[in-house]
Amino acid sequence: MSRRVALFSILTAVVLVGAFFYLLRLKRLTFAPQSPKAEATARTKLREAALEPASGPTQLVTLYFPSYAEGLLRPETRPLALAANDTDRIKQIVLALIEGSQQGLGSVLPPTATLRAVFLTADGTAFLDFSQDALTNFPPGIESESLAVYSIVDSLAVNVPDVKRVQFLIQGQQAHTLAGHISLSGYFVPDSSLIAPSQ
Amino acid sequence: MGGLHAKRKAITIWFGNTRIVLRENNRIVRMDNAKLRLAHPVRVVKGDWMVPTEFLTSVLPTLLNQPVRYRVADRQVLIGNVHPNTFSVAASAVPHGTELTFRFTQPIQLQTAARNGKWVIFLGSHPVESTQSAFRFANSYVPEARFDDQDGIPKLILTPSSVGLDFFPSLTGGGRVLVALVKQPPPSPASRPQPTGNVARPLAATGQSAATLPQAATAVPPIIASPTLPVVVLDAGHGGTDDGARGENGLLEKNLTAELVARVRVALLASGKYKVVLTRVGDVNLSSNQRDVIANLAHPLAFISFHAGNMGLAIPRINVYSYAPSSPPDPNLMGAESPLFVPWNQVQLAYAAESQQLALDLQQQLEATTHEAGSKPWQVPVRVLRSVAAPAVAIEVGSLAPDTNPTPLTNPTFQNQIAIGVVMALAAFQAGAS
Repeated sequence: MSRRVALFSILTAVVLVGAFFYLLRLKRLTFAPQSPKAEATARTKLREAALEPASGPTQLVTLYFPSYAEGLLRPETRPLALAANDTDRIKQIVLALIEGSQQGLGSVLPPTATLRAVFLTADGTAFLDFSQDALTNFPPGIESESLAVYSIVDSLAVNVPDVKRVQFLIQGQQAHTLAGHISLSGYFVPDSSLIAPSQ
Repeated sequence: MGGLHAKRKAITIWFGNTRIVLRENNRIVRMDNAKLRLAHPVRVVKGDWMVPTEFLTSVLPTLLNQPVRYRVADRQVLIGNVHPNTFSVAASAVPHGTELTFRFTQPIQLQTAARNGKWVIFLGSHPVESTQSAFRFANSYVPEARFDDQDGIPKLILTPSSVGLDFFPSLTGGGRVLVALVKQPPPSPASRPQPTGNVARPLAATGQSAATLPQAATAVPPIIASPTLPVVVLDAGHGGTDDGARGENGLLEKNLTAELVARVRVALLASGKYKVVLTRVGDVNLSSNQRDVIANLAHPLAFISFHAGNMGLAIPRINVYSYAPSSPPDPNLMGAESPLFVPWNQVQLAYAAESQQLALDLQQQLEATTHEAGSKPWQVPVRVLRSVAAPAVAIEVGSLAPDTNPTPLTNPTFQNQIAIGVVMALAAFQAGAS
């Protein structure tokens, strides 16, 4: 009888300890925010993709990110080993923009946005073909869409001199607007009026 | 809401001192020590906790300490001792037409307009409750009447079956009985009957869209206060299946812009200086081109499009925009061969300077009335302004984004300040132009 009691006690203790650790893990899983993890994975992929074609020497590139507090674009410099050809450079710059600011500035496009293809024509028009994901999680607004578009256009113009204008495509098609406000039907030429004056 | 604690299968919410516990796939709601049984279980869909609509009327009254009613017909929640006007509808045949009689429980104020080939009957500012959103009639003149108050303005929208019908709305019974007489006009315009007394003049369904413009629209002008007043076109951004931006509490851009337009409309009409044309009446889909067509047919003094969007964490903020193309227009495509015609996507370019001035006036006046320092007006390719043949601007309030509490944007004081700012800016714009 006493042996049975001892066995039962041991089993109960094992179950209780197991349940405690299970609940602890469950709590962590339940309350841990899921989206940052997914975003981090997406960002890592982008970072790898952005650095993959690097063949040239590392140089400082200037990327423009939205500063919503000012309603303007703020420059951020970072070292990047830029590829030799323009098309790969454009990809690197755009992916670095999607990867996000390292100084706490606003995001340009959602981390899940995919750049499907890039074409650069002889007259300096860069065609950027984004996936539909670029729009799915994009917080719409006239200001946010303007800043997103010009952060890409101005960043490309300053880092890839051959880019004179940019045409945005979504899933290979010309889109009416980015997310309901800013027209994407025409080419975009760089506009420095949205860049914050240097302090 | 005081707090929220989510577990795998249950969620605990604190409203003040009241604790509510919901469990997935369970009909029991615990409120402190009390148990409440719902007709349908609580569900979790893609991480969102969904309660049946009866939750609104069974749990909310206790939490808010106010009566709560849920209008099934239009999915609206009435909180407090609100006693909306209600009405019944009857249709009867008359020679060469039909007569629709709407009997209200409280007096209404009648105002009518013709939009997109439909007749719109505005019912005043008091809430109106309708048992259904659409009424169908078996006649060959007006097969359908719809009730709509999505933008805060209760109204009936009558759809005539064909173009060229005459519409005689009138109010009797101390303002409680609305009679809408729809008749086929006599063959000869000379013998057309002229309504007298308290019977309104015929209002033709002067559609704003060329596709729905009834043939008689040019023969009978719509009832508008005075033909000499300048028109202001107000455009509530988005609508229908296009929700626009969404705030932390689920506030949708399409609803916020409709609210803002309703307030600005009232302020403009109250000034007695303007006629107002709305592009969007109710929660309907409207493309940018349709909005621009409506504006251009009205030959307005100004076109103002209202938006709300992601503008960072600061709230409230207001920005004003005028149109600038994303790249300089190709001079070869500027209509050189046919100077009488302007490409549709370049219509606004001729009004760029006036639009920039209007944007500046608006930015200054909105800053003065709301005390929110906005940035200087932007010139960006806002799609809805592109083809407006008039001074055109967009006003964006923010921030309306999933990570921002948009409550300050729904504050009536803030919205009224915007409305007053718009009236003052238009006065300044007119003064400058003259």
